[in-house]
Amino acid sequence: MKFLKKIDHLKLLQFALGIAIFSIGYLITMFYFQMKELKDFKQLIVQYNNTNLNISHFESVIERDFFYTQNQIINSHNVLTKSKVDDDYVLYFFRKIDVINNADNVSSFNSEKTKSLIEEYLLTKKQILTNNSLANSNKLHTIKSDLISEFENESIHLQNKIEEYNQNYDQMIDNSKTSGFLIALISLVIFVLAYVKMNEDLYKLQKTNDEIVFINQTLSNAEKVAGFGSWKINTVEKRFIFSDNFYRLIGEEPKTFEASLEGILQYIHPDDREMVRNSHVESFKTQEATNLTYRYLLKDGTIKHIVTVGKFLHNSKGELIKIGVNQDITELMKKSKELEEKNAKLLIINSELESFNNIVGHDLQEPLRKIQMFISRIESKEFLETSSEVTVGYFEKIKLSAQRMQNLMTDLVNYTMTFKGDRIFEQVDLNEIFEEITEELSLIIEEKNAKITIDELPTILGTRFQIQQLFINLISNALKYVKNDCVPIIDVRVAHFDTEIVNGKLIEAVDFHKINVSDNGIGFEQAHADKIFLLFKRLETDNTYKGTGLGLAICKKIVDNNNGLITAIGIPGEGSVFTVYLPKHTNLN
Amino acid sequence: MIEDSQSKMQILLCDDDEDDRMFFSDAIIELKMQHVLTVFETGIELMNYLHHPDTYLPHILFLDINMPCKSGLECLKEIREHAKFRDLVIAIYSTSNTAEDIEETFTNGANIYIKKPADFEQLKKTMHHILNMNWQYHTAGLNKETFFLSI
Repeated sequence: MKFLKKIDHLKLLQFALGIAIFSIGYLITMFYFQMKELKDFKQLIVQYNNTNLNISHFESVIERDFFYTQNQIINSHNVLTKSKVDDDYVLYFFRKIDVINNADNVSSFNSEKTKSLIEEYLLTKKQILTNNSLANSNKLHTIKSDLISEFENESIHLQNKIEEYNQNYDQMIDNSKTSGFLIALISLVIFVLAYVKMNEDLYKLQKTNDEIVFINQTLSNAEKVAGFGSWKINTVEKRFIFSDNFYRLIGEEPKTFEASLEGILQYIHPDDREMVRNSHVESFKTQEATNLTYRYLLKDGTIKHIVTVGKFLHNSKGELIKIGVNQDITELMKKSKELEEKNAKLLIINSELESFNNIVGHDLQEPLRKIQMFISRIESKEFLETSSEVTVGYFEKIKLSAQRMQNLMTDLVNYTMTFKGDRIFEQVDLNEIFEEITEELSLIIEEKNAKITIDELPTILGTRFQIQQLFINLISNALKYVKNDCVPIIDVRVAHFDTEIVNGKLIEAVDFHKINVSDNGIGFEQAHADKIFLLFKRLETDNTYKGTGLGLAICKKIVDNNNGLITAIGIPGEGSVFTVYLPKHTNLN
Repeated sequence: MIEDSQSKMQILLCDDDEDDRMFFSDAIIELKMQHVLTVFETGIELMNYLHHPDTYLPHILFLDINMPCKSGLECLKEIREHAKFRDLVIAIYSTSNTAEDIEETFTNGANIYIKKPADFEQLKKTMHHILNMNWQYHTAGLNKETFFLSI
């Protein structure tokens, strides 16, 4: 069985069955002819037997006739006794003999010779009886003896033939037996094969049936869970079939009413009824798929929103069938409506935020700029020289506050810019970025006599203006938080690594570039490393460092936006290292 | 007046903000340059002046963007429509430095973009730079990077 299963055993079974049926056909034909031959043989044997009997009979008749004839001669009775051997009898006898001669060409029985002998015998006998001559008596005796020996010969010949045929007959019977046995055997094989195949088919059928039952049950459950209902219309038989959940969708128990168009129409909202009916009627003409959204009005007054999708198929009988699925989308519609409302609200909030941004970015900066302008006007008009020290002190405070406010507003605008959705990711050459940055910060770099070393940097994937903002902030920070009278030394380096775990995330060198920005500034307590990226979190309380608390929050936000990571290491009084991981390609997250 | 227009630099300023106009004229005066400054409070006034037949073509126009009634951008477009103003140098002089404003004025034919400084000395420095610029050289190599003035 295992072997059979290996080579597609169904095909093998069919092949074997074919061979068996062919052989049984062949054997039955052979058997038929064998039987026919056997029958012919048997007839032949019977004929030989009959002939033999006839010859013996004739022999005895001749013997008796001879005896009678002799008796008459001896008794000299002139009365002619009626002899059995007459012409009629002889004719009758030869007709019987001829049958044999016709059937058996090889018969050695020479009937011509016999015939002439008989004729001679009859003639001699007649002579004896008429002439009563004894001389002829001897002649009759010789003729009779010849005739008898002729008969004897023939009888022996026939006996031999019969013997021979009998042997052949046995042989043939044996052959027929073999054929019969083979037929029976092959029939048995066919029966077994058919049984095996039938069993197998039956098993398969049962399995398929089980599966269908299972699928049906699953479908029924699925319909229940997903809020689906299915229907089928046979356009030829005008028959409707509704699934169980179809009934549940219209708030009824399954099979509460006969599935029909009129039956379902009364559950459709009166306003939609005409539309649904027309669409279906129209679809039967065009045989095009339908996709409708309408409402059910249930008996308890609830309204359900339904989407129905239907299409046409032909069944195995070639009848046109329309099948379809109804889905309850009431919840979906409710949710999407809620979402729409929320979205609209969000849009309003967003536009309000945007106008707030504009106010901060432009309208608030305007008066501030004026204030700063007037401050610089006062400074330039030698006002300070004529004023008291206290006034000058206050004036300085005003100036610092205005400066600080301006920084704060610039940072706030930059920070809110990082939230804008319309970001385009592109290949950004960091070397170009740093060229622009050093250009932009050239004034302060010169002023502080800072030494900035920049490696040959890679090209990363990100939003250009944001990446620029990120490194401007990092470099500005390094320039801002310097130790008293210390020349700032800033290094921008590409760091090599294989894999690292950063903020609980596995970072691999194939995906990320790692860039370190280190300085020899005031540094910070490592314990606060996580806090420095928080909004408005300033570690430095010394007023000489005019930070807004936004710079690093912007950095963090930008790195997040660009699917990267940022970490910081600080040693108070020694310096700090900011590490940025930026993606090499798009397929992250 | 004719003498003036030939020997002195003709400067136009269109700005709706009174203080900014004052800072501007103060800065130019302190630069001690030979100049004639004509000031307009609205875009309409500016356009009327420019279209007047007696008007001589000025050397340079400083144009604010955010103005009521007729914005600087509208003025810019209108001026660039006329061939006779082809050689007029237009410097955008605005508080805004948004990418959209810079982009739009650049594509509409302004020559340079100045963000109003917050420091008077800075303003003077900027004015000095602008008024002594070789415009032919600047315009020949004008691109988005050189368009926005940073000193």
